[in-house]
Amino acid sequence: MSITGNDRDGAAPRRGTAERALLLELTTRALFPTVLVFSGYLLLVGHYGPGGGFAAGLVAGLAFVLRYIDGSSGDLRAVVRVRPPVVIGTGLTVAVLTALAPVAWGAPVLSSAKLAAELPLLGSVELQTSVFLDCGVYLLIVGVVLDLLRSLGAGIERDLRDAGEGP
Amino acid sequence: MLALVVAHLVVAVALPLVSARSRRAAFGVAAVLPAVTLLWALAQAGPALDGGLSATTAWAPTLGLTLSFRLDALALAMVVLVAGLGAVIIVYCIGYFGPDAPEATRSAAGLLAFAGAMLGLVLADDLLTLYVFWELTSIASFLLVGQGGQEREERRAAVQALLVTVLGGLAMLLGFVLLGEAAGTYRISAILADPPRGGLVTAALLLILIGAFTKSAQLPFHPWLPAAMVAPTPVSAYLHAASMVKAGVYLVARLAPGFADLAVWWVPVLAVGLATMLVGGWRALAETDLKRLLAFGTVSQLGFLMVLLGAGSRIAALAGLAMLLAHGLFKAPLFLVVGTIDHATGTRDLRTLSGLRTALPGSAVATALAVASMAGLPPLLGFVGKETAFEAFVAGGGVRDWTVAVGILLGSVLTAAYSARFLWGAFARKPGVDPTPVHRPEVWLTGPTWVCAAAGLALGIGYPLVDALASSYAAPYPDEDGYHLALWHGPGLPLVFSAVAIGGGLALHRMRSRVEALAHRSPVDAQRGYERTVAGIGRVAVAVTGRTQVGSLPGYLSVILVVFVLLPGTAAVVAGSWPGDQPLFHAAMQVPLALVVVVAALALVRARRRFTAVLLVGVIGYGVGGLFVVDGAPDLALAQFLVETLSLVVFVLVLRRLPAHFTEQRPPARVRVPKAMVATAGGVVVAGVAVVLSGARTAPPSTSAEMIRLAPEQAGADNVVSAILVDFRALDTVGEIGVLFVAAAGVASLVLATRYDRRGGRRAVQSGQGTPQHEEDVLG
Repeated sequence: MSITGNDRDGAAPRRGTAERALLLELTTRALFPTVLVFSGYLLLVGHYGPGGGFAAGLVAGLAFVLRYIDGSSGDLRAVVRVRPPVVIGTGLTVAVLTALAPVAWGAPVLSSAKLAAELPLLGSVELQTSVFLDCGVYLLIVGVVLDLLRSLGAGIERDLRDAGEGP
Repeated sequence: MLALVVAHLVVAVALPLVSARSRRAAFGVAAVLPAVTLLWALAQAGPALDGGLSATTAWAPTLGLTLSFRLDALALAMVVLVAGLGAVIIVYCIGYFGPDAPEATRSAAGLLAFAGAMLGLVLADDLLTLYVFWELTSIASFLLVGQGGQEREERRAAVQALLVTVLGGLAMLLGFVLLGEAAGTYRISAILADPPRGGLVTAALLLILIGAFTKSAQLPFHPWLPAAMVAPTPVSAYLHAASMVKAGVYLVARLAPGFADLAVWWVPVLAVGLATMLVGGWRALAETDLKRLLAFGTVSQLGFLMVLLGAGSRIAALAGLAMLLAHGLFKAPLFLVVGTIDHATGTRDLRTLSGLRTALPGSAVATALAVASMAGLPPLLGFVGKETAFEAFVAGGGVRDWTVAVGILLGSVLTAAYSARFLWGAFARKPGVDPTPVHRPEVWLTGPTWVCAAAGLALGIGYPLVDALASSYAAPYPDEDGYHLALWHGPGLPLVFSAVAIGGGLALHRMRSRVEALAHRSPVDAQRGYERTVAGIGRVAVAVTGRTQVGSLPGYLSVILVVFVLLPGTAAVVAGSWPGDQPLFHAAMQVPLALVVVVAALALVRARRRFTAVLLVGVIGYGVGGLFVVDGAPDLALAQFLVETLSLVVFVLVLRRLPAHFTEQRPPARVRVPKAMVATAGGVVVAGVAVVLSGARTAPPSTSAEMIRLAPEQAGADNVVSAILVDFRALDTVGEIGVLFVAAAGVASLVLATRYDRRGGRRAVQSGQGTPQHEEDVLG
């Protein structure tokens, strides 16, 4: 993938142990999954309270920022296997498909409908189809944040290393 | 009709799948659709000649956009050229492109797509539909001329063709809109049934004529056509002789019945047409490349067609339609013969070709037939058309008609001269030149040539068929003397004119060495004009960009702020009023939050370190977010906090590459003071305008209440903000994430692209853009 020396031996580049902030790393370990779950909650609750795809995506993105800053995982490629542009593209695709899907049922573009179902254990469940649009927004925002971390974070770091200025 | 057009485009897209298996099969498949189209059109000839056949499909009904098609006499004639010659030329490609020619795949798909677009153009009965197909043909021409783009010549010719025809196309679009608005409809048949008049129509017609002149290579736009001869010969035969360049002529022919009585129409059409006919014919006498000779001949003939079809009399229209068909049927085979000669001998230069008459006797006879039609010899269709053309202007009398008659006589002399030059140049045995070695062409090459040339002969003898077609087209003009197309009209001035044209042409050909030397010395060169214009536009663009895009961020900001102060600021002072009941604050918490923001802003101005500045910007952002919370806007506040946090992180990431301090030395006062003044004025005006605008509302917003009422039932959302984002204004949301997508791609390219440029010290500079490493980096 990359032509820097560190990558050539397979593992993602790690910073030296001297720089690792253990407290931050431990906190991140605990916070990261929690924040991701919280972002899922924000995504779904958007219809009824503060939240929505944009806010949820930013929250999830900030979780990855935390992972990046704590320094334990190098350039995040070890955390997220998917390439950020793919995440962005998927988000945009989901959003556009959601926008176009109503046409198949003869409704105007971007119209939404309420789906209701009786599920065992959960009882009656309702789903507004516009949540799919929100999911697209969510994915796109997460992708944008990951891409920023890749280009402005790891990319600049690599440039610094190449120039012999960095850590 | 829409189905036929769409079928062309769909098959064209699928064609590369076929040509991956066999290049020849691809052309075979491609030829089927035009052939089917031709048969369909001929089967519909009865109703088409008897008033026309219409079909309309709604496209965007609320905008009044429809895809309307109409098959009438003129459209039928063009379909015969587009589909008939299209099928023949595509079959010719089987022989022309070898079984493993790299350009075959592109050409097969391009030719078929072009045939579809051209078919749509000639069948369109709606100005905007016509425009869409018009531009599609320009694009197809660009792709087919440019081919792979490896040759500089190809790229230049393709760009020139595109620039010139698209310039005309845009002018034409303006004209169409003006004409459509003046007439109250965009249906061409409706406009012609009741042609509008007035100043707007004058402007519209001039603009439309620019479009027609550029597309049909009329003076002074003509150089793109000879330049486009770098394309493969079948492409030239089809696009640049038989069909696409006739689009302009077709448009003039289509609109002439409604507007030919206006001086704004006939003066430019006759003047430009005649001038083009003469200049094209004259320049053809100087060319030594057979293909360029034909190209200038085409320019000349297009001028002739322009005159005939734009003149607006019945006989001229009869002649125009006959010549339209005749030109397609003699110019296409001539191009095909040039391709065959090129294939068989490897050259198209008439100075080195010699003795082909005996080596390629079949092609020589077919060429002689086509050339005879071009020069206007009986019993070919070209003779029928030319005879009628002379009759049209001789019979009219008057200064205008006599001028035109003499003009087309001169043009016909030149036509006969370059016809003789072509025949002589291609096939004659030249003294002092060894006979050119030849390898025999396949039947794929000679067969199509014969089909076209024989059709010219058949239609000349079977002139009543053409007469039926032409009479139907000319029906809107008053029929005064019952003139009809015929091979023999008896002795008269037209026959004398024809004889003079042939005799004069042969005499000119006799004196070819002197004529050639003269024709080389052309006082004005339109090609130079084009190059100067393009270079001039480039220089102006560089000058303007150099003055406006100075690359100084403070400069840009100052411009924006000064404009803001001058325009909305002045408007607010003049027209706005300060709200009288504006309280200083309406919640106690606003006071400390505002203080924090103000103090942070003041400190920010004094900050010398970038990191401090970034943190202070963050403080301001959080403070504003706090104000949102106090005012009861949790969604807004949430987004504000999150975005603020993310920007802070991004800033910090970027700061690693920037110096810690803004500048080492304080800039001098003459720089600082104006900056401070602009910034202060900007800030004050923004704040003032915000207050004035917030007081400008006089009634409660009607939409807010509606949105709150509709959110639960229509959008299924209790949160009205969410309802707006994903339902009421969902299109905005989709657009905004599109913007984010572009921004992310831009950041990745910019940051990662510079990487390989900076390695200059260690090895040769590699431009970041487009290197494999760079692409890999940008894609993750």
